[in-house]
Amino acid sequence: MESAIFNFLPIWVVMFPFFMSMIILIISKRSEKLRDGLSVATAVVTFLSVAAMYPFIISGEIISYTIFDILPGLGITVRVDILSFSLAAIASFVWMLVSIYSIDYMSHEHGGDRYFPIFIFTLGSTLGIFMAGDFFTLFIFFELMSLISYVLVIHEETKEALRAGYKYLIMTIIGGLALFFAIILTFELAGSVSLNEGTLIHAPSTLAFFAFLSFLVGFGMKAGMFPLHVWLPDAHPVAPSPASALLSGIMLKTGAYGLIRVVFHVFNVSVVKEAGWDVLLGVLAVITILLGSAVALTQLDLKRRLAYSSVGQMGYIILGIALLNEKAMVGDVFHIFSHALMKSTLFLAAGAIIWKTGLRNINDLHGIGKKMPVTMGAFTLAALAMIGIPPLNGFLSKWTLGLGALEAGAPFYVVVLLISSLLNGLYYLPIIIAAFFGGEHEEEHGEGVKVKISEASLKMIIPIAILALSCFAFGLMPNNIAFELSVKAASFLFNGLP
Amino acid sequence: MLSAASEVMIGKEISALIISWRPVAVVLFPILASILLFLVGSKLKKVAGLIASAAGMITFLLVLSLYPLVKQGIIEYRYSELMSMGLFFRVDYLSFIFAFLVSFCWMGVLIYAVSYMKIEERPLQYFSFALLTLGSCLGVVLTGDLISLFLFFELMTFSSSLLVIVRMDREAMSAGIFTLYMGVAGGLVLLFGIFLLYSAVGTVELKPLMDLLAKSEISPALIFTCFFIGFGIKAGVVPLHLWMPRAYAASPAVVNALSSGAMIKAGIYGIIRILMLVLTPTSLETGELFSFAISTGYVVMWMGLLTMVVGAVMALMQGNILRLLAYSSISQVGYIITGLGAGAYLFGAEEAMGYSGAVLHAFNHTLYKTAFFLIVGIIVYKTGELEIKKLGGLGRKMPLLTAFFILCVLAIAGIPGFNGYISKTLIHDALLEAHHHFGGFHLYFAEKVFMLGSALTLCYYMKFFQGVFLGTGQEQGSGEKQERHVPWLLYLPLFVFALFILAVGIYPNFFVEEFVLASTNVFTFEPYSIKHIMGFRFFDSHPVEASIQVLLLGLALYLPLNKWKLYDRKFPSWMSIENLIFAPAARIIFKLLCRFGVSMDGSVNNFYLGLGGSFLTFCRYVGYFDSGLDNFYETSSHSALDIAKKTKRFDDALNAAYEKTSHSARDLADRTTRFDGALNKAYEKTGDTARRMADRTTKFDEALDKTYENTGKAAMRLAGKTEQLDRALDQGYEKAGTSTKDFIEKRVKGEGERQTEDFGTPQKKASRPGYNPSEWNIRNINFDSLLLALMLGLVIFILFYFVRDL
Repeated sequence: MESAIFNFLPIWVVMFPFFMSMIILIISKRSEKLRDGLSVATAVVTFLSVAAMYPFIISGEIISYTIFDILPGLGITVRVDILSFSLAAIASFVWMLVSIYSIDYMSHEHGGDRYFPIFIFTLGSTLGIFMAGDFFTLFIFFELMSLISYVLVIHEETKEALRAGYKYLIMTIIGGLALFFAIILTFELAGSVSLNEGTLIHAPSTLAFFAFLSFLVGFGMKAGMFPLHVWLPDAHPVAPSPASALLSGIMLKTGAYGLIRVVFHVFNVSVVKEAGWDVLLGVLAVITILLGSAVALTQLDLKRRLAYSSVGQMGYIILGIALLNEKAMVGDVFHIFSHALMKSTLFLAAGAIIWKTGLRNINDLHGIGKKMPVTMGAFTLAALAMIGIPPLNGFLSKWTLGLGALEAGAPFYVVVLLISSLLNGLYYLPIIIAAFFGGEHEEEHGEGVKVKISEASLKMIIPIAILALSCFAFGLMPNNIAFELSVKAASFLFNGLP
Repeated sequence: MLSAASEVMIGKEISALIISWRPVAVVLFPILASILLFLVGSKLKKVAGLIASAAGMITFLLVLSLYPLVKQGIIEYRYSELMSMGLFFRVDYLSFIFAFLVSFCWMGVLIYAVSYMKIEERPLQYFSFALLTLGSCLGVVLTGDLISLFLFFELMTFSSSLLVIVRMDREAMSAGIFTLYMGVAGGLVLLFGIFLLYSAVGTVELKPLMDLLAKSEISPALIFTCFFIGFGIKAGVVPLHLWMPRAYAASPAVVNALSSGAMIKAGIYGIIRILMLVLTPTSLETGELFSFAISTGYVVMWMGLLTMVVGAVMALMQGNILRLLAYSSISQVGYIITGLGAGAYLFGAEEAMGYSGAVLHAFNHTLYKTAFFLIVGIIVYKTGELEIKKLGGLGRKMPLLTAFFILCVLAIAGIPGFNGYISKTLIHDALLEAHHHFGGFHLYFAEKVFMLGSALTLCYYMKFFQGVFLGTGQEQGSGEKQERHVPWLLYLPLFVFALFILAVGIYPNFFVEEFVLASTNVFTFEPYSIKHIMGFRFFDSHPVEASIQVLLLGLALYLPLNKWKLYDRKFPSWMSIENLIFAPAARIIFKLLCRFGVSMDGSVNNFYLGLGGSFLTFCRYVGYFDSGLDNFYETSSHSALDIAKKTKRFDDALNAAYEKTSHSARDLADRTTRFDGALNKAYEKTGDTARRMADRTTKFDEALDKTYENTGKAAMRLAGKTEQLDRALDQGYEKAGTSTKDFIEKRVKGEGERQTEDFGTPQKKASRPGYNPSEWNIRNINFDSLLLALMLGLVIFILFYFVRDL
């Protein structure tokens, strides 16, 4: 009986947002308040439903069944293991907070009637990716999410946004095609694309390499991996800030999730090692990290800087996959958590500033910290976490990743991580210092933030504050659920069931 | 084991492990106080300083409350859940010494700052950040593993940078950011060291780890380098000292007092822990494992000497008293590092001498350097001036301050009876021991460098003294307008510091044995080297001689310097380490990284755009081709259409024709059928008729036969009659001839006509015998006529049919 409920939950958490997005679409014509309320309620219920799986999942169970078969070995299947659960949990958690934030943010924007249904629909498709039991199902939801989030990217409908959206769309389609090709190849080689098999392809071959490469292109595109990252710094800044938070915080992770699944479920650690594909991943990760961090340093647009920072941070996650050991995987999964929290905090805080002041250029933000102390405080906390200052969560993920790198016998990667941390420091610290300490001096010259500006509304501040505090909590506090989940997920990936 | 023996000798039990939360309280109290002060302080601006100094005092008392526990053993407290790796506090004697000096320095400075901050802006920020820094600084020295240490180290980096920018003018901002960057960079290098150590030995606890480390592949030299850079930036070891003069010049003296007095000691503490503890083996028996510490110690010693001399020379060059004190601090750190290096170099021999010299010098330096900064603070408070050239004549105006200053100079110069002498003697003796032990010119030279450094120290303080306290101070003449009355509270901490300076100077053995040597219990030191210092006779002839030598050398150096004002010369800017190495290096690295990154990013983007562009071009060509094809198709289709249309028309026509034809064919067929039927009938009828005709013909034939017969008979009769007629005619003719001759002659004309008619008729009767035109006879009908008749019949028939149809 109990397991029947748990079996039902994954379908519920995917279908419920889909269903509700239709309702919200209909409702939005009638009442804005109802629309906002329903959106938040949907996100909350979805999060609670995901969270409800926790006791079942943490006990080491896997929810896995087939809904229906299209072809033998190819069908719509559901599978929730600890990794899926971890990602679904963080995704729905951030989504919930962002939905609250969106209410006030969108009240000043056009097109809320379009935004909210899409917003909720994207939640459903993102969760669908995490809950998919095979690559075919995953692909369906992956495409769904990618295409539907295009609407979020171009929401502002400026020329810039449309251009970026076009780029996003093209790249997404290429990625989707590559993924599809990879799935076909896998199906051809293994006769199945299910995640339940453990390992689908047992030996490297030319065809397997092509499959791997296509997976890499498909998922790497989404994850913003060099050299497929070019859409990211264009698309993320032009989207409305809550959408940027989700794009950077959550949707990038679907790519990383896919890559983890590819390495551990299509192939396995020994195959990847034997074929030397981890070197390829490692090299790309290093370039991604350094490039993202270095280019972020040169950006003057706040959101663009954050977007490049995302590129760099996704490099960490790819590096964690490339290292192929359990410790690194702990850091990897934990960094998925950390980065989701940090980057959404940063984007939401940046959004609050932009919403309130209209300023996007970093040089204009002198003294903003005095006017919006909570927002900038949260920004600071998240930025420090990004640099990897203990006891924030960013430090913990960097630490475990670094240990993983050393265990893999590659202290070089640690150096890369630390250089990137230094660069993170170089591009975040000036913002913070100028925001809190530089104000008065600059105001004399008529620059800087105008006097009248005050803190954004509560509905915007509270999600930011919660996210920022969770950066702190998931670093320092005992009973670090995120870390436990990461440890269990890594152990699950390497040793099978606990 | 042998370390246990040493403890017995010192007469302490250290085996006891005490679990107590007191260290946590020590660390947490100032941090919480800081946060509280920051949050509510805006309402209590006037008493913020008092609250902060009260908090400082309480912290100091809390630290003191550790003393009874530390005397019994090592205090530990572990939060294993925090930070997923555990937060581990561990207080041994060394930690206590540093915690003591940190909190002591802080308390004095905070009390001082209550009055001092009246001339500075933003006292609230100063006090709250100072308390935060105090907490993190105590955290650094009270934690038991490197992760926890790193946590507080980073916190200290940030909070101390905030202290530096407390003035928030442009200079302070840039200095603060620079400090922060260097701190962050140092922190990351430190973190790398921690990574390496952890991966090598699997633990980051602060205890001798060389036994484990020797088994791993990771080189201890690399680990030490990382730690040395990380901690060295904080301590201000020479190539890493760049932030110090900048930060010191840009921030108030009360910040510098904390920074120089206490915070750089956190760096020193880290180096001590790594060099003397972590990178040593657990027991003396595995002596070969000391080799790393020994060889490193030699390098560190020279680093210390370099720091000492460079700091001293730079201090001598400064015109700004805060910068002078900054370089002085660097130079003094050089002493401490030299002592540590010499101690490590002497492992297995006289390591305790270098170690205790360094630790005691750290303590002493806190005392007099804090006092120096407080003195400078009072000078600034009084005059608002920092340039030596603009100052002067304070000796007469402020005799008490002058007395304190002279006391501190005597201490720092190492005059017997003051605390500096004690620690310098120990370090100097360690160098002498090294020379004694290993021999060689380089160690002799090292000792001489040490003497030179000490002499230079004396020089720049004499310069300071001469410039600020002597003279008239009337060069500018305007210095007095803003002179303030100096409250007594500013002097209060100076008394305490002076007291300690004298106490250490006069009762050195008590401090050395009770504090410094008591801390050696966690180290793997030779017992006899510790014993050697027990009851060390500091006021023997040779150390005093050395002190006098330094004094004389200092005077000998100072007099020419002063005469020609050599110290006013500036080094050309290209000679500074910053401009020479660091700035270009940083510029190159960042240009490389950023430019490379940007161009790479741009080129990838361009590549895609180009790819898209060429794809587009390709597509355009395909489009052209396509449209050409299209055109072709269109035209061809047009023509095809035309043809088709025509064909269709033709087809239609054909169709129609066919239709018509088929219609007519059908008609024809129908008609033919009908005709056929009719024909059939006709034939039948004809046949009938023919038969009848034949019958009749037969009958007729027979009749004809009879007729012929009859005719023959008749003919024969006729022939007979004709013969008769002929004869008759002949006769007639003959008669007629004769008569005709008459008749012709009479009627020629009429006669002719009659003759012609007569002649024709008999001829016809003769060619067709039995012919009778009025009678129906088959012999009158030939085939043509029959066909004609048939056709006529047909036509008539058709005509008739149509007529009927119509």
